[in-house]
Amino acid sequence: MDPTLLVLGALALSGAAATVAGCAEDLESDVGSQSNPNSQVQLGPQMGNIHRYFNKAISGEPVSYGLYVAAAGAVAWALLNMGLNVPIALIIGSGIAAFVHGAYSVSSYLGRIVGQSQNFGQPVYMDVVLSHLGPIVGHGFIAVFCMLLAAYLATSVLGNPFPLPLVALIFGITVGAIGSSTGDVHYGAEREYQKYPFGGGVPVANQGDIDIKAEYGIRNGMDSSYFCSKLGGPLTGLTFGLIIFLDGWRGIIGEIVGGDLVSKSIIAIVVGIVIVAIAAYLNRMVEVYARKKYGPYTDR
Amino acid sequence: MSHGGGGHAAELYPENQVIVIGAILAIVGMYISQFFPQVSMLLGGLLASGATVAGANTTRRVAAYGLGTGVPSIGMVSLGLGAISTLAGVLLAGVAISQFNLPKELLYGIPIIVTVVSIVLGYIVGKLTVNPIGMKIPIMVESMTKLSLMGALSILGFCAAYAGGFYPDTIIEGTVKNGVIGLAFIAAGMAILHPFNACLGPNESHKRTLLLAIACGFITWFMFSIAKLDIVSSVASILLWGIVYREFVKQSLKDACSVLYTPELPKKEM
Amino acid sequence: MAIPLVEITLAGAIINASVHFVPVGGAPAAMATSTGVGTGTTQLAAGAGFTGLMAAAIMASQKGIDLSNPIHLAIILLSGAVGSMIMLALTMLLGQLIYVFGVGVVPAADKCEKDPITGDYQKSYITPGTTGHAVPTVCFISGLMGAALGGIGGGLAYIALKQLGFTSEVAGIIAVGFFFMNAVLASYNIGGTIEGFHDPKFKKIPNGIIASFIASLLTGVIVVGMSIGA
Repeated sequence: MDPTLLVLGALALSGAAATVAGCAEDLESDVGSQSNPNSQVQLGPQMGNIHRYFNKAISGEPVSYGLYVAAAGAVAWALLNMGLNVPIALIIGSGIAAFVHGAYSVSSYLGRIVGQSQNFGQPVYMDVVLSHLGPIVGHGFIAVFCMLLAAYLATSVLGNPFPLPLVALIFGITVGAIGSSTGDVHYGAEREYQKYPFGGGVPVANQGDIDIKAEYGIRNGMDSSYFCSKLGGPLTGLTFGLIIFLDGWRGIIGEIVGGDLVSKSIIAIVVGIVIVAIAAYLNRMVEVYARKKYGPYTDR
Repeated sequence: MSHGGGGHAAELYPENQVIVIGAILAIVGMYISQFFPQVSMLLGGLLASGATVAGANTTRRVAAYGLGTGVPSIGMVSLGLGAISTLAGVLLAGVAISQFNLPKELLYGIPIIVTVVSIVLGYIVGKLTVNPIGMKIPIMVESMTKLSLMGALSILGFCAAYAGGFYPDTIIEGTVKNGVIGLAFIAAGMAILHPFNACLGPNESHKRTLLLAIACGFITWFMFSIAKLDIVSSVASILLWGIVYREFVKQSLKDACSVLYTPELPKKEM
Repeated sequence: MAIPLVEITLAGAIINASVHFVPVGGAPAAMATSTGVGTGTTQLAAGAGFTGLMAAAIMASQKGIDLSNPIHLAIILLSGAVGSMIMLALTMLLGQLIYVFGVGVVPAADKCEKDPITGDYQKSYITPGTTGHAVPTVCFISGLMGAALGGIGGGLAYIALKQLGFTSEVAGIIAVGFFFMNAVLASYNIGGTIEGFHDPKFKKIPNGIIASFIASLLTGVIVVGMSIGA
């Protein structure tokens, strides 16, 4: 088969895997309440809001996803060397990572809740631990498996010079960085503060005054993931998928259009700059739209 | 990140004692890995977790001051320094032998060289965080030094356990070429930064943090055992992890103000 | 020997400088309480820097690349820069979509009256009680500059290590550790949050660069020593 076509196919597949991974990663961090928005869940009891959120304070998402994907990558690499076939090796690797993920999640819930339990009267909800563990580990498994697949494709087809566990580590750190900078905002700025009117940031004075009531009953993390799956999760997935795809795609364009090494690379770089310029333009469009649509604060 | 921890809770054991014990355990583990490669993962991996426990203990002490950027940052810088010093120590010994005609026995001193390099690197970077950067934490320099040391020892410890020795060829062929050192970097880093990051708060207790630190050390050992496909160590590590983790859960439930199994909020006392 | 040492030292200083450009609001930004991307400094810089590092490494591993040819070196560095910029541009753009459509805020910077690039007034769009939110144009452009510098710095460190004769794997892991060291030094320097080059905190950049310069010089000496035998 034409090697360029093969590379394009692998790229499309890894872009798709990255999209799913990004989405699952974000929804997982919403169920478990991880990363920056978790500072509000942490602050809640101090402000008198006894809550039933999960409190998954496993460092930031980049570091924790770096860990899971690297662990999965190392195990999968060992199994591949043993001669196991690729899908099974990747699945077993991701399974081990899911186990590690679960162990770290429960420990951070117990640690953080008990760490402020006596002073602020926040009870440990064992049913929250048990019911949330499944969705956390499950979403985490999907994210880790898809990242590992993308890392495997990168090392085996797309010409990445690093070994699988190292690529897995770097991809894990990247997916975490993207998840915590895009999708988490929807959870932190909107979902945790839904009782305040839509359209506005959270003033410092309101911080920690998180919603503890759900649409029905007392809120827990799974309600949040349902809410965030409408915007935050898919956009996170789209971000990561686009990054993986466009970054590889510009190389392929260079490969097809360019002649020698230098011209190929320069075309790839120019295409990349065009992509960045388009993104900057779109960002400006969104900014102008928001300024027109929402307008300035006039009552102060 | 604003949660800076809960002040300075009482310590069960003095920090320096934990550091010395952790360092000695990890270094002994490396020599066991070197001389008895058959049991490198079983014993070397077990002892390497000593370094992560000691590192976690130091993290607890320094991060209680509030770093302004969250606990993870200091874990990552310590592991970054650790990774550089580990590779430096391993390769520098080879260079010294080939360039200065030193005896081959110098290779046995690799753990010591790594220790020295990491202490120097950690001390200088620690100094830099105080001046010119201006961190206002009184124990910053000593903590960075200790964390750099523990980062290096845990990386080399787990890598030596995985590869079956700390000779340059063994480490480069056995853990760097295949990228397992990347796992050592992040897994040891998490084992160092997670225990305090998870347990911080006004009711944090040294006992729970230490228990979790030990559990995290063991689960790191477990990950390496699985990655090495070493069944005996995997079983041993998961059993030990289970025991410690169970103890942590029990202790947490005991220390909580109440443990509920139903979705109800406690009535507010007005 | 001397050229890689200079390159590593410069790379550290560039990485440190790059972090100062990236608009990160830390935890408050995730609540739309302050301007910038809602994550930690080190984390976002590492995400973007590693994407650039990988782009540079892929380029450097292509057949026919000669590490002593300055044109090829420039191509590797630019690939790293573009890789990082794509990562950060898309992250900021889609983050912006969530801020505007999911949270309903207008992008506004707190540290300047008027956006120096578009000339738009900012103050009246800031929710009372917050210090700005989302990613206005000035922050976006600043972030792109930071990403480009981060990719160049990561790529430069990687090239230097390759020139010293390390294999890709060794160079990769040292570059990762090296990147983290410098990025954390920078994030300590800015104390967690910064809006971009218009932020008064940006004036502290010399301290960060000096710190990284010294730390990287030291690392460079160690790495050059290691390479003699490699």
